[in-house]
Amino acid sequence: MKHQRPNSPPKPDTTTHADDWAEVGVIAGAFGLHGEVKVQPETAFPERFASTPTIYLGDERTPYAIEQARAHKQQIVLRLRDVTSIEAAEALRGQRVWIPASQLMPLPEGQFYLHDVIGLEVRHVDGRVLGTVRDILLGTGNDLFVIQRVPVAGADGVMAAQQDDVLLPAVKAFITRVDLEARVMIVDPIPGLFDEEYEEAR
Amino acid sequence: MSRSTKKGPYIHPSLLKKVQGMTRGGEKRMIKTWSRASTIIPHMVGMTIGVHNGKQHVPIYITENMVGHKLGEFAPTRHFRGHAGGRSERTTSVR
Repeated sequence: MKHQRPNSPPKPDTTTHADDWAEVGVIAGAFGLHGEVKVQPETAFPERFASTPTIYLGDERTPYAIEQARAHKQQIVLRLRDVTSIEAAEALRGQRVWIPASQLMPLPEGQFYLHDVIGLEVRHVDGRVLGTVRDILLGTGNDLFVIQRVPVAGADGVMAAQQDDVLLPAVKAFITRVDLEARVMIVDPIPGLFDEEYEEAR
Repeated sequence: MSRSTKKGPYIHPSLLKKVQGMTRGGEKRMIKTWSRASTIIPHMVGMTIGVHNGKQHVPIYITENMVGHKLGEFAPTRHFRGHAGGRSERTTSVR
């Protein structure tokens, strides 16, 4: 992952809207005495730091050219141009690392960015609207979609109170189709996930 | 010291009964359990088991590579909420 890139100038900051940026990490602190910084990656592609010429730090999106990037344990160590002392590196601690959203990696089929999935409407295969994806829990077994259910009107026509969120495993057995263009996710859940038809075992 | 192989894997009797019943009947239905210490057995593959994490039942879709582990390993009791509020390069996949 070691990569030398001495003379690539920082790109000018031309985008300002929040959706134009994607976070890829956070500066965890200084590394060594010569101005290197440790980055806690917040990306599925930590190797991207070796091929990204410029990162943007903080709310101001200050551009910094990457001169060298390497992996160190679970973190990435970066040497940034114009950051040459431990004091300068320590001053960057806590800064979020951004890239322009246009530089996000293309994904294979079946893999999705979290920000693309959050907000999708969840529909049963029979056409019923079940709710909206509110969050995604990245777990050790399977990822879980947190689905905020739509309130359902009772027999008397009165809308029921807000129900608890439903957790739905992100597996092909339940997720029939994800259509990011139409902003909809079609699901085919078994009994017990969205209703009270489950079995109980202590 | 590991558990004696003579005893076989630990699984709560009521959970075992539900799993065997569902295997015989062939129906698919979520099983909710509080038994985080129960071992995942091959009969559970393809089932969805809601494992209690102290607050709610976390549905776990059981796959072959989970066999031999405990149910509680897949239902964390603490959740890191992450740093990013907006867009990030983190991904999820439908497997």
